[in-house]
Amino acid sequence: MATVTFEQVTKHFGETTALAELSLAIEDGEFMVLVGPSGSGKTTALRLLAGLEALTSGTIRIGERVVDDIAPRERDIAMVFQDYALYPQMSVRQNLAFGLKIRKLSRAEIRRRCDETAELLGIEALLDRKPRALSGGQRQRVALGRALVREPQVFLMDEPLSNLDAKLRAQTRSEIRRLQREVGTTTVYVTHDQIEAMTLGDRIATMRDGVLEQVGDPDSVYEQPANTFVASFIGSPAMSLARVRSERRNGGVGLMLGELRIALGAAADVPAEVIVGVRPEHTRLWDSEAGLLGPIDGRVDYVEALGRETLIGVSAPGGARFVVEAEGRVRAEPGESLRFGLRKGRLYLFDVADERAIGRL
Amino acid sequence: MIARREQFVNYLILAFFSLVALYPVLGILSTALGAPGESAGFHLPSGLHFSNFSDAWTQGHFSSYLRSSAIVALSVVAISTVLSILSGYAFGLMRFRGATALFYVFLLGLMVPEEALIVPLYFDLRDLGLTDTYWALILPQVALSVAFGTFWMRAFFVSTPRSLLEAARIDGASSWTTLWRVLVPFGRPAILTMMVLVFMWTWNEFLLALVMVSNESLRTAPLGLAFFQGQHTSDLTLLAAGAVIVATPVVVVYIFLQRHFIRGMLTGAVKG
Amino acid sequence: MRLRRPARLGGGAARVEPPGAPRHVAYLYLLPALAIYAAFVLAPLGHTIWLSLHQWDGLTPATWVGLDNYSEILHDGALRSAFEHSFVLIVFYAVLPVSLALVLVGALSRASVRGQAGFRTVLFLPQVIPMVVVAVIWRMIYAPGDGPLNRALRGIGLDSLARPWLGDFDLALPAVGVVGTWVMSGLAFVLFMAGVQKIPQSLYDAARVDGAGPLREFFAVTLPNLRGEIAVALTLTTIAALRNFDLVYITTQGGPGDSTSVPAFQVYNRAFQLGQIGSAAAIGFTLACVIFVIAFAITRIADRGQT
Repeated sequence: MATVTFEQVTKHFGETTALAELSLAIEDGEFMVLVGPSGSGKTTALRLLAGLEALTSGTIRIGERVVDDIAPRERDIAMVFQDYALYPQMSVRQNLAFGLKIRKLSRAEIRRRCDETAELLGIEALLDRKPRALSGGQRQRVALGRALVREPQVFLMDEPLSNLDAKLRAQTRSEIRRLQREVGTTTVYVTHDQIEAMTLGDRIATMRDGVLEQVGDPDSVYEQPANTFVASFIGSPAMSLARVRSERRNGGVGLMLGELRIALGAAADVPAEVIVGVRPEHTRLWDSEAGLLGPIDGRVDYVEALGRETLIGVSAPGGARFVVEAEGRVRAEPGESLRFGLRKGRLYLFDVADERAIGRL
Repeated sequence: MIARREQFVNYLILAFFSLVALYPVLGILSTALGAPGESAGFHLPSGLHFSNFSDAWTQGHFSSYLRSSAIVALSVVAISTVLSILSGYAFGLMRFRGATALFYVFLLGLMVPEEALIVPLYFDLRDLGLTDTYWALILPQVALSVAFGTFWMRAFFVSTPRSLLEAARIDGASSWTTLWRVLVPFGRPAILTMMVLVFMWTWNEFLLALVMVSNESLRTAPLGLAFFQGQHTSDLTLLAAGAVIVATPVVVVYIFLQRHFIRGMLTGAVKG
Repeated sequence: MRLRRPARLGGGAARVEPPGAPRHVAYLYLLPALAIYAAFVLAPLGHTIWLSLHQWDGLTPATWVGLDNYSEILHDGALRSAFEHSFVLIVFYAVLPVSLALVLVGALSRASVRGQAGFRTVLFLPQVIPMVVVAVIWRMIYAPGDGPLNRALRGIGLDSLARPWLGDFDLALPAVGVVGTWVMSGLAFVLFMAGVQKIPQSLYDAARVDGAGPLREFFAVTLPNLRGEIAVALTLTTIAALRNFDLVYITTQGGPGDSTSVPAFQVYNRAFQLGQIGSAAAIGFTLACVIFVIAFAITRIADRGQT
């Protein structure tokens, strides 16, 4: 059983805390993505799991086994590095076989595994070439192959796609997913790209400044972000956040955008000040028939025409800023006024003090 | 057009200084090719008397001198290369107590001149009965070369990409395997440069041989040449031929590997 | 769950190293090199210091003389002049070549020369040739009767200047020095050429736009940026000057009289020909200290100028 467990894992580098009491349980066969901006501690967590750094405190288990003091070679893990780290003087085949030879597998077994893995990745033709004769994409596959061929209990991947161009990245992304499903090995994958996280992960662990902010499957992280950080980090284009007052009047609660009041209905326990979040896809140009919250009259700040949709940055009364998504091409100029509305039930409310999610209206 | 003229002037300047550098070398070559028994050197040879070289080789015993030099130089290069790789690896990529202090101890060897060591070395080796052996020439030169070599190899190892080492570690390679199967193949140019420099310094070494060796059969090439000069003050042709023979191996290595030579001296010097 | 405290100052076995990282095995890797180095460099160094405090002829037991050998260096005329000659040689080995190389580098415009590698190979050649061979060659050049130098002087009518160069009390040392200049100039030149390649063209362009002529360019752009290389060149050449043995041994044996005596030659002479081993050791150790001080000083001065 190759589960991976982090129990209160902490890592200090001198004065800096890279990882603060991370506790995370990864299931057997799961594809877990650690995502966050740089400095979030995701790479540190991966390297601690690999045994490339020593723990400051806490415990890491692979399966039932505590691996804190165990050298990487004994942990039965394989890793794919961001810069691939292929052995430059060895052929592709030798690169694949290196770890197996050290483990004293039989010649026949080594050959079998190398050939199978090469076939799986489509690199049979490259087996006798040296890394410097390969393209970036090919090298990446060899790096993947080197991990696959080891048949370990856990795969570790450190931003393996960052050095590829966008098109290749998308292609390889789905391949990695397919491969992992086929092989079924527990995988811990680190990236700063939330799109990668959302498309690859069975579950996503969002991290910031060494702290785990939220872990869950992509849908729940997207639909129910635990705080403003996760809410704005996950999802593209990012959720608009604004700090507004609320007002209770006539038995109903309303959010105040400057002088404008957006009625929310009778329900809800909304604090006097609250951070409100709306994803751009849940905004629309004002249409009185559509049952939207509003109307809100704002001033256009910028326009991004993306072809299929147009993103418009709008300043609403009271200083709140929203990104409004409109279908197709919409003509708007900075400085113009724009009337838009928000979809009901898609307003996220966050506590002003600790930024945690309160609810959704 | 201006660039062309500038280029031409550059050529002239460089050519002039090249001639100045080459003149003594060409002079000794022409002397070596001159008629045997010449008492004045640097004449344009009347004919090409290649026999002078074979005379120097046999009568002048330069074959024996070259053999000794080769034995000593190749031994020093081989031993010091292996030792430098090992210690440079430890200093470059391992963390251990006393690393900094020990490294400074090695650096000291870069500064210490052999003139400060030669006196006790002789008397100690004499007491051990090692004078007049190749070991008296090999071991001290290995020791001095290892000071440079450790510094040089450490600089190389420190510059290797960290992920390469980590990949090897995860693949399960021991420190020994990582060194010889992953790093050394990667470091061939740096190692070759070090070998070439150590070869040159060892081949050209004179004082150590002068002090340690009195047996003629063990004389290295520079020492042989010095004795030869003492004996043949009037036969300049033979002396010149001997000089050319002594210089040829290291010059040949230099010409073929001069990129390594020069790069080695430049980077080593600047880092030092 | 285990808690491990971070390392405290002054020891404690708390580990900062990742598991499995080589630690004590490092000493094994070091051992062979360290052993030979300690036996054949460090031990002799200590032994030299020990010997320098004694008087010994190599046969009878040694007697303790404290710092007498060192004060002899300061007071004995012959030894003092040996060191003085060394400093004269520094001018020939270091100052002249470096200046010459700087002028040369300044004279070369930035226009690239095809075959530059070839010139570099030739100019660096003197550095590669064994010093004994260099000495033999130059002894031939300086030969009093028919040597090429005297022949050339006579050939252009300067007969009076022809003389036994290496046998002249006043000119022997400069004659030896000139050999050093020939050997070292190539090193300085190659160093500076490499250094100049690293100077971004934009600095020269800016200077040219500001109206600087070639001379001003040299002093404003080239020279300051060659600081590191100049320091290295000065260090290497100065050390070579101080360590001069092979050349003196082959050409003049310290003569005529004492006029080309140098410390390294005195070490050899006293230890192996005159039976004054303590004195030789003291000279050797002093030489090492002088080298160290000068190298240190040059680096310091160079660093101080560094922005």
